[in-house]
Amino acid sequence: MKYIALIVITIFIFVCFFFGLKKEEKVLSSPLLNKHVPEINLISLKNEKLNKNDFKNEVLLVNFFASWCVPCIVEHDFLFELKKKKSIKIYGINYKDDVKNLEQWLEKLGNPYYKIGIDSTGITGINWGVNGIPESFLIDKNGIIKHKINGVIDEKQIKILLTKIEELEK
Amino acid sequence: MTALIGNISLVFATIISCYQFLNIRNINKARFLNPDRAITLQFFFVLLAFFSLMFAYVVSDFSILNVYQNSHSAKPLLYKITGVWGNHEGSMLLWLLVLVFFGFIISKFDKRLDLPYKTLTLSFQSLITFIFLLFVLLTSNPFILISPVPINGQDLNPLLQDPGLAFHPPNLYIGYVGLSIVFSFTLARFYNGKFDASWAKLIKPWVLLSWSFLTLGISLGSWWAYYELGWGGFWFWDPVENASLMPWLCATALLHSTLVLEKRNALKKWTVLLAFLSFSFSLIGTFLVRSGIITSVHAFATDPTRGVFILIICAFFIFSSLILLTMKAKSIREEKLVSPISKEGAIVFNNLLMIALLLTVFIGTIYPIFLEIFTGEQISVGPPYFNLTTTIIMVPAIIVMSFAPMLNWKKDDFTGLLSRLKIILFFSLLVTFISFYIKYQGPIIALLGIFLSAWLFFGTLINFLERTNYLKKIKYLNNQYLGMIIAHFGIAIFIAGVTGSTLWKIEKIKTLKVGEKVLLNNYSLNFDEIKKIKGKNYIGHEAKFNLYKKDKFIKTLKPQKRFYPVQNFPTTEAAIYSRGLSDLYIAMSEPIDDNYDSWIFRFHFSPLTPWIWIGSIMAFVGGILSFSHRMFKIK
Repeated sequence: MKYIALIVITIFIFVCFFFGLKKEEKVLSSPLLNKHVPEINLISLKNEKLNKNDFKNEVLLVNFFASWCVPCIVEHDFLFELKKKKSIKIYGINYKDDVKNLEQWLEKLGNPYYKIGIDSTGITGINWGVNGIPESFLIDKNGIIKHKINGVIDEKQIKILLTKIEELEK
Repeated sequence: MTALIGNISLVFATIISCYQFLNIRNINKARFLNPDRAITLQFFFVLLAFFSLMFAYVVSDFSILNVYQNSHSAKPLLYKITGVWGNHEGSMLLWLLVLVFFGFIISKFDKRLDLPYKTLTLSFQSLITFIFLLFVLLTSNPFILISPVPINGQDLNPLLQDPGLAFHPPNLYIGYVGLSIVFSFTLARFYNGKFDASWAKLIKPWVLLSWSFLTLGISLGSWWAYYELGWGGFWFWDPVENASLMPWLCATALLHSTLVLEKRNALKKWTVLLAFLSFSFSLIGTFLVRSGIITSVHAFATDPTRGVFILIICAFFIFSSLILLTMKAKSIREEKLVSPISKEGAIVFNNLLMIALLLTVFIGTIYPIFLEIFTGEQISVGPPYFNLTTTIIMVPAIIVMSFAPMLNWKKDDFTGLLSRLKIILFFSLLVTFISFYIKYQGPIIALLGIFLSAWLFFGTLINFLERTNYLKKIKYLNNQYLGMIIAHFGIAIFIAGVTGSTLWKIEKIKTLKVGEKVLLNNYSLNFDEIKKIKGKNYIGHEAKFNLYKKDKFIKTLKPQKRFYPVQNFPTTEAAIYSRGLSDLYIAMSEPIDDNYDSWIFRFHFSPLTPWIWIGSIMAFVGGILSFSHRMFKIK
């Protein structure tokens, strides 16, 4: 009898463990949402300045990437696809990378970016609260961050992005 | 190529382990793949897979996803090697390696087993190996390739780039997984032989070995958190720490109940249950840590399918063992224990307290899961609950532990004991008063800690003196008894360490500019310099403090704040001045201006902290001494 009770309690614990596993993945929302874009002061790949004033007057996407990042290669095709479906400026922030590698990379895969800021120290990444790349931010006409994507922009994310962009352009 | 060798080795090991389990009844030693050979081959193939992965790390082969995610070409060689088990997949491979290694040493070195029993034991061990190999191959394969091959890796979590990672997990795994062999020994006994004194003798050395390595692994982890990670304490009641404490508590109870079984032929079912529970809690610990069901500082990357798989493994082993025990319980006949005042009485009492403590820790650890399921609320159970319950349960346990080894088996009376207890009480109170005189400012409960530590110390000392006839017969002591004495002394010293470290700790958090100083318990710490530093894969700041006691220069202390760019991760390297009786500890927090001239620092003065590690090491040494005696002297 004692043993049966023990087995029943154990079953109960295991059922709870099972349901505990089923709980929703907790999504970390960025504290930057609905706030102005953080400080940015970079030199672009073509030696132009890139700062906060660039991110104004139109809806645009800021994408943190690097040539050493494998998921970024997967994402690259989808960035072209996004541009095909919607004409939108994509700003790239090249995160902790080697400029030579970056140039070769773009030559091989093509360049979907309107402008690329070189963040070789990673300071901009820290200011923007980037955890790991790729990460992307959707910014509205007033320079306010409206949406953040952690990880690769894929088919599903493009659909979400398109509806968000349409809402913001209204 | 490396990945191919790794994968093929794992597949071969899986096939052989499955074959061995299917041949559980086949004791024909002449067949080609007899149990000894099957176990040796499993060990060989898992070892080959392990070394393949290590090789991939050493040569920075980023075509393997696991290496790409956890290594970097600029990383020092030591951390490339330890990085192998600094992640989920690699650490599962280490777990498997320890699992097959235990099978291997049983097969080669444990000469006490007869052939049918050995075959059964090794077959059950192969079943465990088989299931964990499936888990690794299906959900946690470390040899998955990626294409195109990245130029460099994402690096290992900087917290793990520390010599601590070299030692802490392997020792802990020897402890965790060592309990699997006790589990296999127990399952095999249901089909061959009886649960009697001879069985207790068979499992005892393996319980001792696992217990010793669990002790060492847990204390190394605790030491690592304290000295290297700058967490400012040695135990945080974090779910992952609890996951390692639970099998330890269970193994402690098992260690003592086998003694009763051996001497008095009693507590059979209880001992069997503890043998099952010890390994079950190892499995539950694995589940809690790796499924992502609880949030913890020791986060492994999580994946829900993995969680379900481990849960199924846990359920399979735990339920099959419990059902087996339920079905066979009636056939196990026990001797009745008569007197509560006897050695076995004291052991039963402490066994119950250990299990009570195990349950309170277990409930505290899983309560947040239950609450979230039933109410959706998210909480974490913190130190106040654990400290209170642990203290309440440990006080009677320590009191009994002091004199239990002096009691006789079967029946004792207190008359002989009473005179000795008076001496123990006298000396313990004396020590308590002396410490009260030296350190009167602490909380009253600290005196209880010191009293208990002294009580256990003098109890053990008197036992030792009487047994050796006041050191005249010290040559005739066997290692088993000596091991017990050293381990019990270790626990006494450990209790004093915990008391001083938690209750007498003085903490100051201060902002200092270069040139300023802070006073801490007769010491003066002058902040003389701050400079930038650059390591192989990090940058950061180092502060220079000159330590004075009453204007006499003692030592320069250099705490660091490091930043690892590849991982975008800061770490704190504490500076510690340790004197055997106390620790003085500085950790750098944050700079408060852009010139990096002013910093926030944390200062601790914690008396007796080194005793925590001294006590733990003594417990480990004691366990190993007993193990060696049990394994090699007793036939």
